[in-house]
Amino acid sequence: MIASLYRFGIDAVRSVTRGSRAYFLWLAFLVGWIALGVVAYVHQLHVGLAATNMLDQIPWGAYIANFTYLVGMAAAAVMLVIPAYIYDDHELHEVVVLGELLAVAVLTMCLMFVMVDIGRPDRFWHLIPVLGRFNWPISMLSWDVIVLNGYLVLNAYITGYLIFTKYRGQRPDRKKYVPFVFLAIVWAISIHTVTAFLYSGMGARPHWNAAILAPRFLASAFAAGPSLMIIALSIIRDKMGYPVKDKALNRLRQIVAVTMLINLFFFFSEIFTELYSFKHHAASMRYLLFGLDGHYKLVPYIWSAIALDAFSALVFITPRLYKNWNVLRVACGAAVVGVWVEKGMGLVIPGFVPSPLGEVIDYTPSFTEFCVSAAVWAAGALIYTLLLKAAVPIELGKVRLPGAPALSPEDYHQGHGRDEHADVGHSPAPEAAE
Amino acid sequence: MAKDTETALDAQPGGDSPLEIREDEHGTRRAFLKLAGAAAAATAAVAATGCGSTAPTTEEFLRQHYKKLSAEEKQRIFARIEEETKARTGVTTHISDPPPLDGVEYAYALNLSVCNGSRRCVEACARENNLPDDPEIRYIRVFEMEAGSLEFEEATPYYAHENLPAKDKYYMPVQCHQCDNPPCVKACPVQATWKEPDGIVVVDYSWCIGCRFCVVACPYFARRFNWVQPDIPPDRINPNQGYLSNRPRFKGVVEKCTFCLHRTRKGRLPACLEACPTGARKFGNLNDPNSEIRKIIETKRVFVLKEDLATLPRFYYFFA
Amino acid sequence: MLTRKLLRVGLLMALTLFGCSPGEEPQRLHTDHPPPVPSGSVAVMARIPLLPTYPCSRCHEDRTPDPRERQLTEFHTQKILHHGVLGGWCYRCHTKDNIDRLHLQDGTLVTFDQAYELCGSCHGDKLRDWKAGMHGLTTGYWLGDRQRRSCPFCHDPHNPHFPAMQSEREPSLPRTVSTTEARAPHEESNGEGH
Repeated sequence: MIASLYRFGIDAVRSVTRGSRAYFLWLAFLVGWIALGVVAYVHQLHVGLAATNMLDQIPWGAYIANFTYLVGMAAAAVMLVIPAYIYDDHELHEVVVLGELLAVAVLTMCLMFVMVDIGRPDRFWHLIPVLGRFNWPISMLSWDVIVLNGYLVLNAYITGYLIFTKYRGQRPDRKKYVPFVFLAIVWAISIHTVTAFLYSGMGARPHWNAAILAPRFLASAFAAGPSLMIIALSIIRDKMGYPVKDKALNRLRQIVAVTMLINLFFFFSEIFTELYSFKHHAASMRYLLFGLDGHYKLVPYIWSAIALDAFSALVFITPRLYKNWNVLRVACGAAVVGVWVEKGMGLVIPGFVPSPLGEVIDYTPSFTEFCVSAAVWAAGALIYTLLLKAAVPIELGKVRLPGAPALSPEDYHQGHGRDEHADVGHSPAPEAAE
Repeated sequence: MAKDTETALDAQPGGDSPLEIREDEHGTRRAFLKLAGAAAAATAAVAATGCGSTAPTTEEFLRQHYKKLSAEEKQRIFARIEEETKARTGVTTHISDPPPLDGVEYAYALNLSVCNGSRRCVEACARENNLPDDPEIRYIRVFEMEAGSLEFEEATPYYAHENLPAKDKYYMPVQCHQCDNPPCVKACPVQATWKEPDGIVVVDYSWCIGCRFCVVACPYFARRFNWVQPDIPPDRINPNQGYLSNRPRFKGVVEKCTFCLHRTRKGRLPACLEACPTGARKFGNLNDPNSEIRKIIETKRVFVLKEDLATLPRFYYFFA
Repeated sequence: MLTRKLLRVGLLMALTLFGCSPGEEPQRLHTDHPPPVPSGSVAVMARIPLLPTYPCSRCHEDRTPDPRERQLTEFHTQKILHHGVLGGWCYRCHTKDNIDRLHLQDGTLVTFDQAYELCGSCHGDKLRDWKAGMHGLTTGYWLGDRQRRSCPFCHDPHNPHFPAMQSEREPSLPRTVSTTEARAPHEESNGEGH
């Protein structure tokens, strides 16, 4: 076991350090962004959070907005898992590991966004239960710490277990991972619910203090997440030769079509409730949609987000449009960006405008915030790239423990025991593509 | 009031309580702390490259939560902070830690009929509590309200007038309401802020991680974050400091009004109250049926801000 | 099988999510236990030491009282009476035959230190509030000795309207906000005094 774990590590490192020119260019690109972000972060540590454009009136900005969005992305990995394990959807079964690896990468980004946001990162240990002084169960933030780290551990365990058994050429023992898969399903919903409760529990912020918030969070996450998965899976298919079937992508497209429509509906319900009664609590919503007191900064953002969401929803439900892969991919991109704007700038920021005592102050991220945020995204992309680079050859049966039998993704997950490589045919030459 | 009177009051023997160190629940995590010491020193060294002179020392890095500190540890920490202040600014300060008084619950009341918006309280508070001017931190924010309206969206804190009060306006100073059901305390993930038995909500500046969730949770815009390292000219430093109130703070942590607990727990009235030229501010012990504050609450039509949020503020407003 | 597993997992999650108590109903401030000591004593600050021309009899001994309403040209030139619709000029409150004392409606003489009694003979509600510590400035110790200023400290009895004051410097704008931007929406409310 230990020896094979050691070999597993060696092989993973070997996979990661070998690749085409394009692969290394991509890595260099990401590392470049990360380096820029590290410089920006050191600057922020030195100056203090005044390097950002956050204020007492706008205590959270781009970092927490990104964090909120990414928690949803991580939760959305479950949209692959639910059909695969509960409805035994064979097509999605094969890509579940890729989705969960994405969840691992995205969760790491979430934690990074929290770390760059806090004023005293040196005191992060105060958050560790037992060592620190954890305000559980009262503080929703303490719940968030638990569920996010728990979800990270769960996903890391499930993917690690599946990939490692695959590497050893064994069939995974259902008892050792299926219970965790079901736990992860509930857990995924809980991470985004808890994150939504961070906001909706704030009596001080009428814009967030609404029951619709958690459902809206989930709907938007389950729209943006699978959209990102569609893009990621089609790239993985093209660049890494992983056998992703059109049927799997189509299943994701069906999911997104429904969730995006629900998301738009929830948003519309919220807008109606706030604006029709025209209560003072609607000031934030008016600021967001139409501007307030001569402040219009968020107006272009939110309307482009609504346009992007609506466009993607239209594509997802129109056969003539979604059957064109390029259009579908553009629509998925639109959904990812649309939800990002809607949940970041569109949900977090207007909660602070007007401030509890009526001040209207605009917020745009500073250059430092932009660099650090970009670097965290680059770090997430880097982690996902490396995880895929190590995992895909194992999943394809190309890299395995010496002497272990090779299993194709299909037999591996379903235990059908068909002949290996039987179905991998339709993908372009795998490793050579890089 | 003249400066001399202030210092004379300070020197009054009754002003200092003999027992200033509180001893609370005692932690037994020394073993871990010792172990972690070496690692921490390394971390601190790494952090120092990024943070310059404001990097935490090993002691600061490992310092336990206020409620875990023994009396001796507190004594040592206070002495060290006093030394550091002396080395940095040349000012001799005295850090105390007056405990909450038995049977005392504070309340504050503000007479909006007489407040003229002069902001004397704001500046007195800044001097008393060692608040920096650049970038500015102020615990009290005075809003110029439209007569007949309680709507903050129609108010402004940025007014400037030669002749106060302005026509058809009234003035609403807002500071920490020391809620009995404080949403900020609920929000804090590490219990760095809590409600004391006398009702004052305090922050352990040495435990706060700077996540600003409390700032988000506060409906009264009462919490302030140190976006940079605060800097106060030596001649402005108030040497009479409380560990949980106006001692030196540092960047990356949250702070707030503490009803001047380093004064009030020794029986004195808060600085903002004494600075008020119109006598609009009233403070006292809610549990004393004969106190002025009780009479106000019993006989005047007092109200609190945002009552619907069930925060149960200890800060009352009234018109009289 | 599957449903049972799901149930089990669901139960586990439900326990995790709702295991915390929903919290107690927020309680009103409780005020039933006694204070350690009474909140101390109040001393009314003496007014007489602050009067520059006291005792008045020093000059007024030799002068004949003149109850006519007129422009004062020799002394007290700044004292113009702007106090309601009082008739009787100076001797409405000052006492003709005992110039170092004030007198109430019923003829009771009071010292300048007790001027509040005179004020209270018309402004009874304010006197009541002031005596109870609800009106006026009190400094010192809430638990111990404190000093209360009587009416004339803040209200010149001849012109009792509280004097207009200049505001201390306004809060600085948030560092991300330019001056023009912040002022624009509140321009109209800033008119007075500029």
